Amino acid sequence: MDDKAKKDFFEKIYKEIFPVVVKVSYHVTRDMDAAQDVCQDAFIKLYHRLDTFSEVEDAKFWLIRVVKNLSFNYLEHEKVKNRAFDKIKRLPTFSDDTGEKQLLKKEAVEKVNQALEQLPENLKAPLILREFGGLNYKEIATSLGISESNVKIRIFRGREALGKLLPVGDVYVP
Amino acid sequence: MYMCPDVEILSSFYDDELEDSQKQIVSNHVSSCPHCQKKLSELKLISESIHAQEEPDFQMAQVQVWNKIMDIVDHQEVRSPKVNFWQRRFQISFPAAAALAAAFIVVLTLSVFSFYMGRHTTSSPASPELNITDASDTLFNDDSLFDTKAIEFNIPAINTFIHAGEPLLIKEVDFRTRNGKN
Repeated sequence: MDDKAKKDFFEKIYKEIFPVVVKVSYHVTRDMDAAQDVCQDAFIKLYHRLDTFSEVEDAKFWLIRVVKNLSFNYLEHEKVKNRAFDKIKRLPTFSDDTGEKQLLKKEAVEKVNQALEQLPENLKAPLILREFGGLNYKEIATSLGISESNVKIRIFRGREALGKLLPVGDVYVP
Repeated sequence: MYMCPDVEILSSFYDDELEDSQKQIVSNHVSSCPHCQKKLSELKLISESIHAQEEPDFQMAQVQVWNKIMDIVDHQEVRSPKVNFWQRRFQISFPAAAALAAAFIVVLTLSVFSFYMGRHTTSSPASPELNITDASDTLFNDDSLFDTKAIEFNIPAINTFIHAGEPLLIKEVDFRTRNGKN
């Protein structure tokens, strides 16, 4: 593969996969800068081993797996680093233009985020890939290297756990 | 009326992941079962609550990250062939580096040691050029020598001459003098 063909193939993969992986990374890390760094690292790794992929689909599943792993690694690293600081960061912030509705929404979103953070990685990853990555069960199974029936169970259990962590009355729906 | 399906099946139904035949059965059941309808609406609510949060501008991020990646990739491609041989970095494992360092120290120690030993031997005064001749014929065959009462030996007239032991020649002369002639 010459340089131009390599770059064209890379650009094709990037355009197709970036919107998926950046969302997955953002919803794992809850940090857009971190999500961008993670995606950048993953795509540079992909570029250097592009010859090993013949189809966009192969690269897609490899990228999703790498981004998922890098994002959870980042999250774990940050948790250890900022365990004390997190408590301060999560306190609700009030501003003058915050109306009652806005405040309710903020609190509800905060509760959802906290509930998602409490999920273990094996339940959180398939749920995020499904909800934010828009992947079907088969694609999630290929990306995570698990069976489709396992994906089905994990997504169901993830939702069940979220349902327990989020009483229906507390959930804000726009 | 069919039995209520598991919530796990309802979750798959919600995700549109059931096979057509199964999907039709569940769909028919849900349309007439308030319990399953409630379960489905809970699943929907959870999903909607997850999506309720505002999201950052992913399209902007896509452009920014692409530019960064291209910068890095181009920089790496341009830079790599220009690396001079003498500017190349070589990786060496720690045990190999330690072995090299140890070998260097040993060689250095030995060279310093041998240098000082060399200086010690060369610092001792150079042996004077002695005019040594084989005098045994003269001593043992010329009887006239023993007529004299003493034989004179000249030692080098230098300060660093060290007398170490009796010269064999003197011993032999003594022996011949005592047993042969006297």
